[in-house]
Amino acid sequence: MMQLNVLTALIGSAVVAVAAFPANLTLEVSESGTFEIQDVVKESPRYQFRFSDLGASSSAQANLPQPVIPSLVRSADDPLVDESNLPPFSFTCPMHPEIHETHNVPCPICNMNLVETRRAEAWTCPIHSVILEGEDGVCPIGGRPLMPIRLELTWTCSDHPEVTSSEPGICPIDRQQKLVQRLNSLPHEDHSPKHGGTFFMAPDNWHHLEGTYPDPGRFVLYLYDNYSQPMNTGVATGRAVLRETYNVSLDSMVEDIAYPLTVGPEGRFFEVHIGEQELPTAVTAKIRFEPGAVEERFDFIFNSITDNPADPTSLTPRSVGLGGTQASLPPAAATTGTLLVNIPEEPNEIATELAIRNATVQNLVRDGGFTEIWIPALEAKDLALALTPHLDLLAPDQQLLVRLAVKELVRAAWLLDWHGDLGNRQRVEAAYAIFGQAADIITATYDRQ
Amino acid sequence: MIYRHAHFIVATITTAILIVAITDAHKPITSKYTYHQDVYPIFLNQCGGCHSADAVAPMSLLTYEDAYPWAQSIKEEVVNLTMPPWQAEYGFGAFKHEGSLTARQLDIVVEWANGGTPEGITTNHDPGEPKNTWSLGEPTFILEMPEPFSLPADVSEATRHFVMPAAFDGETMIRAVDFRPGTAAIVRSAILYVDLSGEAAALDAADPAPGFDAENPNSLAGAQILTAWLPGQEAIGLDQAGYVVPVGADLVLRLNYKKTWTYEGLEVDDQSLLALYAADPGVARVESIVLQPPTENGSNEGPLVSFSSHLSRDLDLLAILPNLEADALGVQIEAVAINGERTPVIRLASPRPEWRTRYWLDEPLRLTQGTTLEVQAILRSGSAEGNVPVSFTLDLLPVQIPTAEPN
Repeated sequence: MMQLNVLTALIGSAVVAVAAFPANLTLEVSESGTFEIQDVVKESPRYQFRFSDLGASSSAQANLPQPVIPSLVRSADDPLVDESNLPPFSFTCPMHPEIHETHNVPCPICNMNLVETRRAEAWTCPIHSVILEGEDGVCPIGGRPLMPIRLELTWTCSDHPEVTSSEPGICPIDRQQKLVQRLNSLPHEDHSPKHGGTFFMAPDNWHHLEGTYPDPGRFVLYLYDNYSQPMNTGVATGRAVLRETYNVSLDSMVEDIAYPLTVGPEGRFFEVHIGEQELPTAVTAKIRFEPGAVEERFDFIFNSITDNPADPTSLTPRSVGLGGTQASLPPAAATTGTLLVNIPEEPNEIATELAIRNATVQNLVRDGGFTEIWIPALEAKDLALALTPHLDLLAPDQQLLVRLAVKELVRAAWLLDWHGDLGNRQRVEAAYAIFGQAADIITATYDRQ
Repeated sequence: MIYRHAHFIVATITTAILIVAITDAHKPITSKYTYHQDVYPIFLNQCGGCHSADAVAPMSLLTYEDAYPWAQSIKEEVVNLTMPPWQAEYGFGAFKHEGSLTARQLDIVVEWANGGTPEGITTNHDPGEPKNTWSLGEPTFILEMPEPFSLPADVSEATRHFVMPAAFDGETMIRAVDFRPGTAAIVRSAILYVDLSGEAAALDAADPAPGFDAENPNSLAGAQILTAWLPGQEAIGLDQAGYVVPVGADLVLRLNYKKTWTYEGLEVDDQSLLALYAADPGVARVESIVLQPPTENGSNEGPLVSFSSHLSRDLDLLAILPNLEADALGVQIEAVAINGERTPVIRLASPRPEWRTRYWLDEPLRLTQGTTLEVQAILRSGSAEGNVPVSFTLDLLPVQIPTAEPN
């Protein structure tokens, strides 16, 4: 029986420290009177510019590449939701869209009164987020099983997108037109990159960012808010770090090569010239989203020049070394989706499949494909759980060892899913240390059967 | 023409610091597990002792509305093994009423919390047994605090001792103790111990309010502890054995009070209750022995503390009560037989000193004469402070050697 060294075992679980509390958020809201609901929902203190739907006229807005699917308008003869059976009103907080109540109670976070909203269920493809169906099925583009999402349901006029209504009806401006359904995505529906780069979420669960290497020597970083809408760099500051080494006398990492991020035209992104780098190259962005906030770290690995972001819906090859069994993987997604792994009959076959996933995860960790780790990691934990009913075929001391390893692998898989999405190499590696050891124990036990 | 309006006044807020964990409830629903069907049974059995309405935790997890906003916290605490707070490592020794989640339970809870916290089919769950019954059955004695104790409005945390009125006729053997807090929301722990010195009674008489305050009364050091209760624990009884309560002894109840946020700034009363179960007079008598480092050579230097104790008799180990004065990364006990064979006894990873409870072995562990009990502890740096950092109170039964039959 493998004995874990006392020191390692005793400090093992205590060491994976996860400080995942959100960074302090500063809310500054001006006093005002009555608002149109559209104004309140769209304007939040973080937006540096007024922001409205596709087709709006704001000049700052017009220059930005359009996000993939913040809002989708259906034509009059192709509604998503059956209008004879509308979902009921519910209530949400304009500052905290994750709060969703059946009654108008004060927001449990900030105590503001909630606003009316209608939520609709729809089905979408994890890769092709333009696909939006009213029922379960498969994606017409790639055949992948659709996954359920919730959207906000409003009505608008196809010629007058500034109109917003909470009921179907006739357009108030052009009374010949019937209002059409518009579905707005809710926060965290969309983690796909808009510029062909690597998309991460910040630990505060609010900010998102995307790093790209569009030209040799040029690192560009885009910021997004909690709706995954692009935002100005605003008060955020940061630097791109190319190399850190350990300093013995300080007992900490010291940045050897780092460049402050400069603000691009009109604050649309950060950029910095890091000198032409030999590919693959690693760039760590250290960002402070607000003055005085915690500095967050995001590790990017570029295996090639980032493809032209002109078509954000294309499956731009992200050129991350996979070494795995998947032919194509979806871009950043923080959820399991409708992940189904084929579980073999025999336990040693299950262990073999688990070893394959472990190798895939190991390669992704090495190559920086953090946002894809979730698939083989969560498949591995389903395989590990599938071993549990077969454990009584093992000798008693092996049973205990494998049972412990299965639990460690399950929790490490969730840690990898979580931290992979945050793009923090150190935490991903710490989680992989647990995952890899547990997987090795399971594999070695079944190799000896 | 209908514009949605929201009539509300937006107040000026200059800074709102959000420490509350932001939920992932806005994520798409990708969890195949739902609250009512899959998650509720786990929360009820593994978490409900503390996480129910008016209990000691800051939130209940037993309704969907109470649980789902905490999804992010639930995920973090469960994945980091800090919740449930069962501190004995699974697989290192075996204990009654183990409180850790199994791999599958962890997977279900985390997938639910991570995947949009779907509610599932609304179900009215049966709340379970009514709270007025004692889990071990009808007690022999019920001891109630003589009067309610009031925790003042401006005090949020206090440790208070109460001498319990126990008129036993002579020496009494107690095989089990159960505890029911008066106001569950504020009682964090309860220890019932035997005081032979009379100190507790004197301190109680000197204090006009019910009970008395004392951080570490002399009467507690080395006293026979009848129960070390934490919220949500079920009472466990001895089989054919008992703790001795000598003639003339006082029974002292030490309660650790701490208010949850709903009770902050309020005066709160508590009048807690104990159920004692007597054993037959002739049963085996439990010996409680303290396992601690020798104090002479000051071996409390540095983060690694190790000491051992040699057993000169055959003993059955029933339960272990850790006493941690210092913050430790981990502590463990192993039993080493004469032939060198090592048996794991208990290992606590990142134990919390204030959460002190008795760990009952699933089956008594036979320790033969000559066995050495080895203790190793790794302290967080700078925490030794001169007190004995780590010790254990072991509940043991001497092994009865059958007397030879007379011819």
